[in-house]
Amino acid sequence: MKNRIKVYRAMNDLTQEALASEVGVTRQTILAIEKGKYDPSLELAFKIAKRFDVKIEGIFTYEG
Amino acid sequence: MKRDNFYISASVIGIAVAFIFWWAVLYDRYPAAQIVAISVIAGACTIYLLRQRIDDTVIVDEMISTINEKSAMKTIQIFWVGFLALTISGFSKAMSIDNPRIKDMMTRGSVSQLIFLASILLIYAAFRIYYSRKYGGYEEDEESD
Repeated sequence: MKNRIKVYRAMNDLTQEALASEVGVTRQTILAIEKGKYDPSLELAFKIAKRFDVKIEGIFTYEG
Repeated sequence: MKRDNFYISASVIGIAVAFIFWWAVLYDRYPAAQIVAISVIAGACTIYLLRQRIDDTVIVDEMISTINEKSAMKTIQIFWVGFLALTISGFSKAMSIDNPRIKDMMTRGSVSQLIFLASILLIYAAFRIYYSRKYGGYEEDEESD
């Protein structure tokens, strides 16, 4: 699943570590999500979207 | 309990079980083997219970949980098939042995292993039922009719 987490992190001047800490996961998980290797759970996806104050569709793109 | 204290406790338990095993080898009489088995199970249960008491802040990361689940599942699947093949091979070998004492010993060992493998399936089925109920696997509504 494609995502724009890196873009939003840059816009908010947020490191992977900081974002991970805020949404309750490890930095490795954020890294894996950004690289498209791991698809987050619904809960985590909502947490990330809420952090950047955008809708889920604004960050994640489903390629079904 | 701090995480470091848990690791120390787990190490002490591991060393204790190793000592019991060494004692059993030296004692070499009934009920040494049974005591070893009980000590291993008791040690594992104790470590599991101690792990629940760790109160350090730990992030339960969903990705790591997923990785652990998939790794455990694949490991059990491969191990089960491999162990079954080994057990059947041992049983076949036991049937061809002429010495009745050795034949009996190997047959008992193979049967014990087969019972152990069957127990794994039963435990797996029990957990499947438990987690299916927990996560709504058996739920029905008006659309189920």
